Amino acid sequence: MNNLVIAGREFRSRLFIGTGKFGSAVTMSRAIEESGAELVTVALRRVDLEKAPDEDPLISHLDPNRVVIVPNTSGARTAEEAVRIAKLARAAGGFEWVKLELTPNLHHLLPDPIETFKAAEILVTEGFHVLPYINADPVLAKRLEEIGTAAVMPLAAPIGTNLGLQTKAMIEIIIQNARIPVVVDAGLGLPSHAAAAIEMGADCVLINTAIAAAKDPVKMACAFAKAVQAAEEARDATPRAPRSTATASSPLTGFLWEH
Amino acid sequence: MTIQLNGKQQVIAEGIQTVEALLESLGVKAKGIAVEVNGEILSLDQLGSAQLRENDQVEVIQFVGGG
Repeated sequence: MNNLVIAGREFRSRLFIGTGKFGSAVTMSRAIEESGAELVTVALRRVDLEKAPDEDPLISHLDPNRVVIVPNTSGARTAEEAVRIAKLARAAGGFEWVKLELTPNLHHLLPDPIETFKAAEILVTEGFHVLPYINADPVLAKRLEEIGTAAVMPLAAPIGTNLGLQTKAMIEIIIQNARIPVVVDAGLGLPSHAAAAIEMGADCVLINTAIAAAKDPVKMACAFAKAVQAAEEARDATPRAPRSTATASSPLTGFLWEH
Repeated sequence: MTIQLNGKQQVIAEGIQTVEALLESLGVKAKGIAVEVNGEILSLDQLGSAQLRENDQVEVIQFVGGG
């Protein structure tokens, strides 16, 4: 089994977890820890100064020695805004990684390919490890690879929908052509969806809503981890190609009624 | 003096001269936050020396959960 390497960092788990929507920070950190995930995403927002100071910030629940913390640029509508957020995140936490997320339309939250590409060019030049969240567009994925992004993150379905691999045919083309890791992000709702993504050759999956919004997020995170691992093992075992006609599993000779 | 703090006008007490003093008065700990003044990001070691001026636009940012 080959370990996954992104931007020189080795990952034993092919499950990445988003930290949004968890009922509590304790549940979130247990889901991360018990599932064995080694990369998590976080967002950056204004401190709410109307409320009492946050004595227990999210970031204190994440151990940077155990997980790679990847700030996202959610909320950004333009390349300029995304670059600003990435730099603020670096200033706040020293993080060199960034998940480029540029979703100007709050209705469908689909990523803007043009602004994403522009921002990626700038951030790669500035030395960030850039993980762009993109629609499942093989041409865009290749263009991003060419300018030096650390991976590409095509969506399976719109964010938070749990619809599974709606963009399967396009993600397959991305995987066939990619020389950088492919992280299937957004829309995966069940461990079986994640397993299907890994079985078809994706390097890893990023899950947030499907885990955080489950009744038991810790259990769901572990279920995703197992599915991803099983799919990786199945891939390594090299499955036989499907065929359209039956082939018997039991011998077709020596039946009791033969004369 | 009056500054624009996280998008809102705010009158701050006279004794508060630096960004560090402002954060202290707000009860915000410097760990895990980022501060931008007039679009420029300050590193944590600049907070103590960064003087506030009338109408400064100050942004105080922190990490939250996100996908």
